[in-house]
Amino acid sequence: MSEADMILSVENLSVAVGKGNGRLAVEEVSFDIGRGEVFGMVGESGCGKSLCALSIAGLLRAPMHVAGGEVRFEGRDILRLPARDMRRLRGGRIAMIFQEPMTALNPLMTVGDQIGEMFVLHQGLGRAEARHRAIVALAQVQVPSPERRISDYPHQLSGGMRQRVMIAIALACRPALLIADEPTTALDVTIQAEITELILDLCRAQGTAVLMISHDLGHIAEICNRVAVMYAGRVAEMQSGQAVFQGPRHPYTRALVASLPQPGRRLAEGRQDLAEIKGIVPPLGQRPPGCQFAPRCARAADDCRAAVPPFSTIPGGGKVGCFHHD
Amino acid sequence: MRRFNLNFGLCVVVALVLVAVLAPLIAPYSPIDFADLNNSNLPPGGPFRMGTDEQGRDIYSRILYGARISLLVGVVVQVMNTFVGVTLGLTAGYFGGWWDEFVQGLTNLMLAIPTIVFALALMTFLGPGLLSLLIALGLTDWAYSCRISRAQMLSQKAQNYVQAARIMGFGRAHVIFREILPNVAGPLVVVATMGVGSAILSEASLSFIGLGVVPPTPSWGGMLARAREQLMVAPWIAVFPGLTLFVTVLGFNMLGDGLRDMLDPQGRADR
Repeated sequence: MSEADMILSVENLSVAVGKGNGRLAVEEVSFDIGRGEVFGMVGESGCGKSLCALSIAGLLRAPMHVAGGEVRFEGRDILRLPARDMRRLRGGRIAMIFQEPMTALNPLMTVGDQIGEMFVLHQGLGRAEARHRAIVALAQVQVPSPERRISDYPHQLSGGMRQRVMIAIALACRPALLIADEPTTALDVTIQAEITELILDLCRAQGTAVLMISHDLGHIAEICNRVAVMYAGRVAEMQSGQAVFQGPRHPYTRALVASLPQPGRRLAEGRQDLAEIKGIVPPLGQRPPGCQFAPRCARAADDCRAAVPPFSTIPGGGKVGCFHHD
Repeated sequence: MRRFNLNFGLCVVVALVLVAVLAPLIAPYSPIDFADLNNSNLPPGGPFRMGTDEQGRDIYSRILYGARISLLVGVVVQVMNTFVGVTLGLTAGYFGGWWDEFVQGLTNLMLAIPTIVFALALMTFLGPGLLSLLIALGLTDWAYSCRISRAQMLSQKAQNYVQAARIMGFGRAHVIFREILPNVAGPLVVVATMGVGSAILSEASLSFIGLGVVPPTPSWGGMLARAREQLMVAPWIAVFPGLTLFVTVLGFNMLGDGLRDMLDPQGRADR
């Protein structure tokens, strides 16, 4: 991908907790997202996916702070952007959807006002025009009878409806990048697929790139062009969505894929325990010096424990951070 | 009981406002100009419903007019206090860091010194009079609203809608005062309402020791002060302003109580 096609490029991003560089929660994460691309990020809780997302949006709060690296968005280094310019980017060019639609809306404002605010703030529209646009935006996220729903308060809507409203707010100003931090985790299983589909459809139509964060590998492999698998603050492997699921290279990814339950297997092979990854994720502050996965890895050798493995390129695109990958 | 608190408080406050506004229409005599030493220290009854004071002025009329001062002081002082306290508290809670430390320290200082002493000190600088009374009381009793708005801010700050508002690109002022403030307004209204009562009481105290409203302007505290000397001869001069003051402060406190119960979702479920 050429530089011009790139909407976001993250280079060696590190996020530290507390003063200095003592405890790095995210270490030297690099990836880039092309215009209109759907980029996935998977990993267990606490592996740093959300921290990456928040750093890109410039929303890290003390004691978390960016300890190093660069985030370029549309060619500009946004980590060093003045607050005023960053505010203009947020909501306008970079939008974000959160995991919890139940609490992400202001309980005391009508849905219409909350969507309309975006047009007032970023496009300088008047109240009446903003309201009209809000109705259109609600219709776009397939909320039935938007003219009536516009005057509803968040508590009058179901979780799915609220997430639709969040999507309408996020995509109101046609951002170039949408960060979706586990957008369907808190929703009913029956509407998870619907909401994902909605996000992807709308983004495709607007040419918005998506950074989709999830801990569901299967789900993300299915919908994303490329996927980064994170483990303990580092990228373990980055490949196309299909490849990461069908031909995982990193031992961690392999173990993850192997641990997924497969429909039909029990019928064919009888009752068996699901494969598991022994051990636990090293807690922050107790991370090993070399490869983070080494203590739980069957292939770990002395070199793994001594140094962090550099990334090697995988034929067919992608990279993997392991000395002994396939 | 909850309804009673609210209704009683509301009645007292509405009555006070009506009296203050309509004082010239209801009062049978002028509170200042009508003074006849031949009528001094008359007991209640006859043409003077609540009797007359040592200068022969109608106590009833003076109480009605005194409501204007009390209400004015109560409301203006509380608006000032709430403004100062909420602004400091919300920003301290939102920004944290050295600003929070500073505001917290200031709040503790204000809480450590009794309001009335602080106001007294200020009044000696500013001199007696209504304006300096408003300034002195309006700048000294904001510690509680500051504490409460800071605590509310801390709990709201963690809410997702706050982060959502930030990611939409809103500035700090918008997030603090447009998004968060309406969500914490409930408890603040309660504190402010109760504060009106204590502000009225503070005004009465300052007027009682002669630092408040300058005579002959009728104020309840001032009336009590002069009634002291006549307490054995004409107790009604003290009793009526005292009772009015008592009922008024009680009214504001009960209104605050009632509002709190009304706004508390858990309390609603219980009853």
